Amino acid sequence: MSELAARGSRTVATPSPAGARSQPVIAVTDLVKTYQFHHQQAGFTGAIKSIFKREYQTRLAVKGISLAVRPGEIVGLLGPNGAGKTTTLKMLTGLLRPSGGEISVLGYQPWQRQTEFLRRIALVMGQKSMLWWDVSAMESLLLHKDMYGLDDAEFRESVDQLADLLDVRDLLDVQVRRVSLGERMKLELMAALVHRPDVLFLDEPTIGLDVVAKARVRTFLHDLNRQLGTTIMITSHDMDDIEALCQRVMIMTTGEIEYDGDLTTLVRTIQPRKRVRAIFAEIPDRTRIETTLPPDVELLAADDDAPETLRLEVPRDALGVVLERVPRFGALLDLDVSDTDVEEIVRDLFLHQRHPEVAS
Amino acid sequence: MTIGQTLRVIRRLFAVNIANTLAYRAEFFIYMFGSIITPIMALMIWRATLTSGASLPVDTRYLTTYFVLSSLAALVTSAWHQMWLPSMIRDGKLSIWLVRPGSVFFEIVANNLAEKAIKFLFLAPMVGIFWWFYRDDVVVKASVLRWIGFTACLLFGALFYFSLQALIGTVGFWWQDARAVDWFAGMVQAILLGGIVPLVLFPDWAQGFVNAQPYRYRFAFALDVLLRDMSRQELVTGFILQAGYAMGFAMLARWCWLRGLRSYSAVGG
Repeated sequence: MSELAARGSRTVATPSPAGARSQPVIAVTDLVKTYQFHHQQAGFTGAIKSIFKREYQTRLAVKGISLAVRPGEIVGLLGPNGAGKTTTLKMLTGLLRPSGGEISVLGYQPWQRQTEFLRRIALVMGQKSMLWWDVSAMESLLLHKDMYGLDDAEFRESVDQLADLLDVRDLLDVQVRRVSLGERMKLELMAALVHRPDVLFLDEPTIGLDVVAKARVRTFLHDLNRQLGTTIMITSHDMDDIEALCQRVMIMTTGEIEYDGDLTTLVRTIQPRKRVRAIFAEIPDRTRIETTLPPDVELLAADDDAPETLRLEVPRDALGVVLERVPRFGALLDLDVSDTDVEEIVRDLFLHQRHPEVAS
Repeated sequence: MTIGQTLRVIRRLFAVNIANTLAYRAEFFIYMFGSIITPIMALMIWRATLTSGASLPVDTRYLTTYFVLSSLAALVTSAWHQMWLPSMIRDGKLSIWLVRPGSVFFEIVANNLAEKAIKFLFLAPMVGIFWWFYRDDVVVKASVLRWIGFTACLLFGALFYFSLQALIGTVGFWWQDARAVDWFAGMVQAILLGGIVPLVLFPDWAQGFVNAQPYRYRFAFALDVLLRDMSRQELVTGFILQAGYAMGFAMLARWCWLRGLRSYSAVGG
């Protein structure tokens, strides 16, 4: 187990207040998935050899993970490519049959793909469309109405609510292939949610969307979770998605969960220092600053284009002292305190898992 | 899902597929024109053979009627999902069906029926012209019972062929691509289907095999029921074999499908 895993709670993270009283909707114990594939040497010789003799190799994509997700939680599953997060999501939705271990989602074994189970979950894949492209989105919604066995009143209410939340009422009668990518993603979400699933799985839901569309999707998911209590599990490479939505994150590397806990703890664990940026009316005296500040405060190099700006990295427990002393260095125009960018933290974490010797 | 729900989903998918299909009208016209060329050419060759004095076990009227009707029978019993099922498996597009309570076979059935409906609209006038051109030799003197038998055999033939194509498509779970299997099946079918050479024209020594092999039961047996005077024993054996192939291939395809799903790797995000 890595140092990080030891610091974070490895199996059960901080549940939401409502969730603390409930049984997990997703419970996974020692989950394993192996793939078999064959190696082929490049070139003509390799192709000929592979006809007569193939070397098969088994790859352990998921190495005995355990986790529990409680009702109403929004959990982010993070990790570099090949970490096993999408494989895990596919096992949770019943697309893949596990090679070992146990999974229970809403009390069902997903790989059995029982109709009752499928009625209570939804999966949105950013790169795969659930909509029929040559007809209107409403036609796809009506198909889902029949597929999920919704009655007319239920369907109307759900469509009205989702159309308002997603602001897509005008798009419902437009042929899907004629709408923009961002609009299509909102319609995808609508199709996935029209039956009001208890658990929503999202695989890269904002991939390819512009900043405005991303923000709308995030707001919608947040509102959905708050208003309907839908449990959401999300994989994304976009850290802004994770920051905006997830109370809890799981970090997977090479098929194992390295961290399971809340995002704030992760940030504090990986990067226990805050960043302070102060802008003065005139260039501050750096020698005086160095002698005045506590010794463990790092004074970052001055920017040639903005010599009036002072940038510091400060241990969290020294922040109070630093903020009290900074105004003494000159006429203060602006002051900003922030955590290190989460994306940077997670990137460092992944790098550390793969190459401990180069970690920052 | 209940039967009512299933039918509602298929009905709606049928409408969606009709809309999709109508977007490609020119393609359908060319496709249907191509599919009627085969029976026309085959008929011309066999009529020329008879005119040149060859001794065949059937006359001009049987051959003409057989080929005029075979183009429609071939359409009714056709299925093509073996072409796109493996690509859905290979590219992971099957996933979108596996996470919903509706089966991908609802879509396949709806697509099959919708395309056939549109193809029929294109094919019917062409067959009408074909029929009118050889009107003196197109003779169907069949009783109502024969027409019922013919219709039932076509439906069983459609089920058999649909199941066979599904079985070929499931090869995609293990081989990623079923084109080689499809090509091989196509080669065998070209000979044994009765689309170019009516099976009754095969030599006597081959008749036992030809009558027992599954491709006869796509549409050639149905045409025999309508056009030929078969003995009661031939009819009963034929019905039993056809039902057996239809049910047998359907069960085999289902078994392979369920086995295949276990090894499905759901490629892509």
